[in-house]
Amino acid sequence: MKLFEMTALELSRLLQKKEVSAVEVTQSFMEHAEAVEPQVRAYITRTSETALAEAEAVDEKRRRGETMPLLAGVPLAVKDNICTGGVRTTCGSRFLEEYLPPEDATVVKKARAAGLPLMGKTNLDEFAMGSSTENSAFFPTHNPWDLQRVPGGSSGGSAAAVAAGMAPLALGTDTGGSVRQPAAFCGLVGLRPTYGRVSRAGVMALASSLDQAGLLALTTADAALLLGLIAGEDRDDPTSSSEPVADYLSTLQEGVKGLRVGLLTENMPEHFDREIIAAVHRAAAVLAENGAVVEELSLPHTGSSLEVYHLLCAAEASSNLGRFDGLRYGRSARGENVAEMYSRTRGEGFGPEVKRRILLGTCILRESRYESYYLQALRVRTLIRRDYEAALNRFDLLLGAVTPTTAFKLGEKKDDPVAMYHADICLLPGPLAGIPALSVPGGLGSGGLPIGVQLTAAPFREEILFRAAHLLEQERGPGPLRSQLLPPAS
Amino acid sequence: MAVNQGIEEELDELCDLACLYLSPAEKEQIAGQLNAILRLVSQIQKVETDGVEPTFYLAARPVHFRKDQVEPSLHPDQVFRNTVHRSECYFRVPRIAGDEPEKV
Repeated sequence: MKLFEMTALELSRLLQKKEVSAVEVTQSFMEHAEAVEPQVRAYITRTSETALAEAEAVDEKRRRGETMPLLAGVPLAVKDNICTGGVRTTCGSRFLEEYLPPEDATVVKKARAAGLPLMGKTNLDEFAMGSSTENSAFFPTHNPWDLQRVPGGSSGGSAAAVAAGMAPLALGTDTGGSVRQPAAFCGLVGLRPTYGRVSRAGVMALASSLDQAGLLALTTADAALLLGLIAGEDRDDPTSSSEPVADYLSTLQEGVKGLRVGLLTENMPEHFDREIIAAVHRAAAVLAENGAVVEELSLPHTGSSLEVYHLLCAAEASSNLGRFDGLRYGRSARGENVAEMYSRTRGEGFGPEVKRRILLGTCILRESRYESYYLQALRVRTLIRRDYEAALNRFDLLLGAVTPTTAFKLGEKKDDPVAMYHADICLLPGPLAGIPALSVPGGLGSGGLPIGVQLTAAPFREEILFRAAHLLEQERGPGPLRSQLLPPAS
Repeated sequence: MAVNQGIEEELDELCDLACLYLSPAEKEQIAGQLNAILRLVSQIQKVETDGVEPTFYLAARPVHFRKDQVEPSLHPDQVFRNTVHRSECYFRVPRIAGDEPEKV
């Protein structure tokens, strides 16, 4: 097996035994990227020289006999809304096309300190607003399983990079499904941790009461390793939690015996693809066969999640994106006065979806609509939270779908924002309640496209998600799912 | 304000509030899309919420703050690296007082 075909855990073991060097590992992913990136277009910026220098530093420390973190020398791709000091960070926007952050985001600092070579900055929907990566101001990314299809979004570049063998691990962000949906479309494990589990310092804000840094990996074990590295309290993020970080890898094999699992049948209405519904029921059967107690349950208010999410996200985004005035950083247009300068700068710098959401947020925060839209959405959010609190008192784990379909075709929904929003229907309740949620491959559907299955648990119980996901992986077969660009293990 | 009267009449005002220039063609397209989105999100008004408190924040515990102490900050060259509006150690903004408009 070539190095770029391996999981992060496999690479970590070889590196620790000194059977391969970090430079060899990094070069393998870089060489494979040379072959497949022109078709996939996962990266906005590739940082090959940085990656090799970081890999050399890891090898040098190993030669000196230093004890290294488990993931030292395992390459990492980073979504381009996560700041990297001195490496341009565009947020997928013309506004920030040349932006050079002064510092790394905390998650990047942690990754660099642990010796993960940075392979590059991955494509996304502009300011993480979208579900297909077609809203990137630069170019769309292609799904490695079928190049005519979207990789999902907004972390579509991160998902495509891992699924095509251009990095074994990637960081993403998930405000309303932006890690889990691309993970499902690209056959990966995608985790949105609990709100507060992972620092957001240096992650560009979309909607601050919903945003969470997350990760994408080939396997649950890889995801568990990476979460262990990036999780924890951060003085630079006052919303980060002091809850202790578990050793997620050590509990991975504990299984699901005795766990109470709630099956969310109502989040799979009849218009969902049959093969999606079948995959969720198959996962429920596997959990039951392995000792879990599975029961159907209802979360009556989650049916309003689409409306609540888009109202709150637009309101918060319209406020957060107010900082882009063209003075301190980013694109800047000329104007006869301050108002015209701001207005033209923002008009030229932002793309259509960003403009829609800013205007929607501005619209519903006006005095005439504040009560009936914004406050009403916040009240329904309380009802959704209560639904989850009650459910997670009864159940250890909730199981449902990630998406209504497998990956859709490029261009299919691009000009119909409402249709695009509907594709996120299963992804939105979790962020509204602040709970952790994970997408794990549940098999392949028609056309050989991956299907995701979603697991959610109580806040800070990520280890339960990993245990159940790992079991589902084991039952599906050996090794990760592999796209056409990531050849089968030989 | 009724939603179904359409956003067209309000759009110029919204663009002013959001400091966002739209071309006439953009306005036409975005008005139709915003109307469709507003139709979708107004479904929220059907939910019974009498007596329900709004959820503004999710943090489970009181948000922690760092001590109010001066710490090392960025060098001015880092701060101004991404702007063309530097004037020594200041950001130069268009004049906002006086009669003569100034182009920046």
